[in-house]
Amino acid sequence: MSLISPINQQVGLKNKLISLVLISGLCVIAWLGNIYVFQLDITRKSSNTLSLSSQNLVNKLTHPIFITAYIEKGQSLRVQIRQLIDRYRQINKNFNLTFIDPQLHPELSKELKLGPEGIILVSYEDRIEKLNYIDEKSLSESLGRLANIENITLELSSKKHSDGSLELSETAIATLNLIYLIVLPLTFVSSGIIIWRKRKSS
Amino acid sequence: MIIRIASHEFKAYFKSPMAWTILAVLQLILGYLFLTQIETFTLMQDKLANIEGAPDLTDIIVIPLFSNAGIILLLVTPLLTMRLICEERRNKTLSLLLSAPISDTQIILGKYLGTLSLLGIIILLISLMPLSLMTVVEFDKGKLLANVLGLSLLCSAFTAVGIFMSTVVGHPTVAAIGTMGILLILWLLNINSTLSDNPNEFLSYFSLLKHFQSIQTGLLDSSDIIYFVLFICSFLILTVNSLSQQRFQK
Repeated sequence: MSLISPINQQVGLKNKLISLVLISGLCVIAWLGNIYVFQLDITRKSSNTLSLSSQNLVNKLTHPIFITAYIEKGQSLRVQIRQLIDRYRQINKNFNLTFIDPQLHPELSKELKLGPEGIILVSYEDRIEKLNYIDEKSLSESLGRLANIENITLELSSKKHSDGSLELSETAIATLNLIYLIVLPLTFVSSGIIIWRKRKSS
Repeated sequence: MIIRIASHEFKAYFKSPMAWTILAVLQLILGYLFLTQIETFTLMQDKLANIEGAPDLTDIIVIPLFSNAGIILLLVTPLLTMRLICEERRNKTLSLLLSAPISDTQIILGKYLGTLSLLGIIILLISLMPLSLMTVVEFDKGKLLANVLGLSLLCSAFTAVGIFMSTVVGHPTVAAIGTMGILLILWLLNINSTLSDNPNEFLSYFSLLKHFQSIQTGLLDSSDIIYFVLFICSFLILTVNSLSQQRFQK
């Protein structure tokens, strides 16, 4: 015999149904959230947004662009390249990115003379260019050459640079060590001991 | 009433040595990692200055600090959340709480916000580390803000899973291990994107790491924010539902 009364069973069923409807609603919002995307670059130099000259160049590319990255599996460089190509893809859907692990294709590695840092092939129409290093500047310049777009001026060189030198005196380093490794942890530990003793005595 | 429960939970953390110990250990580990990153940057800065597009001070000090904090908090949050409902049940005070004139949603939200307040203090202490360098050097405040936002959302998600496990499981230790397991699986789903030539986009979407890393770059994407909000809401709904079930089984 069930110990749960019929009223409680009904309320329980109602709660389950409400949760099911709410979670289904959340799934729909997640799906819509992936279709209608809004982005805001809050970095100081808008380092996550393509420059105007890159955007103009990418808009002129009418044929598919194939980017093949010969980079070993598990390297964080793959994530960075994917993020970079995603920025181009948001403006022009013709960008196609493929990763190939050179260790799985030793004959290709020999043919392309691949080093441990890998290589990136950019192909547009029937032209191919090899890049040893990929960032917005190198990729946009390469695309400009492949698409024969002569008069592009890339204003990228000053886009991202070091925030400046960090000159810390020995006193400053010693103070930071003292604060973060001794004073703060000791304060928290001693507070914990005081609380523990108080509880024990009461 | 939610604020009252949250305030009670928050005070309860500091009435035991646990919160103080966690604060001390976190401060020691993250302080050491922060100072190591400073040392790395001071050694590398001359070389980096000559390389175009090289990572800057914010990339070398702030982002690794918050990434490490994310991993450490993944292990720490289950210890903070494991007792939320489990302990009430074990001490037989859950029946008292459920018989009080407050809804299940108020109980869960109160306990959730109480834990979040403690995590807020931890995030504040972490943020103070790079901010303490502001008098000496200027760095990307936008990226720092994005990292604080990312870590706050990540901790909110961890807490939501933790409180859910504490509600469905009978023993605090099991709740902590269960939470850690779920969080690690959700964290590592993204490993597929670096190991596979053609990563599964559907699996990657559920990875906490992917969305956290995306926010860390300083590019706030609505899909990342929506993911975290929906993640938190889903687990809170499931928690309230689970508590309601237990109320009617009493």
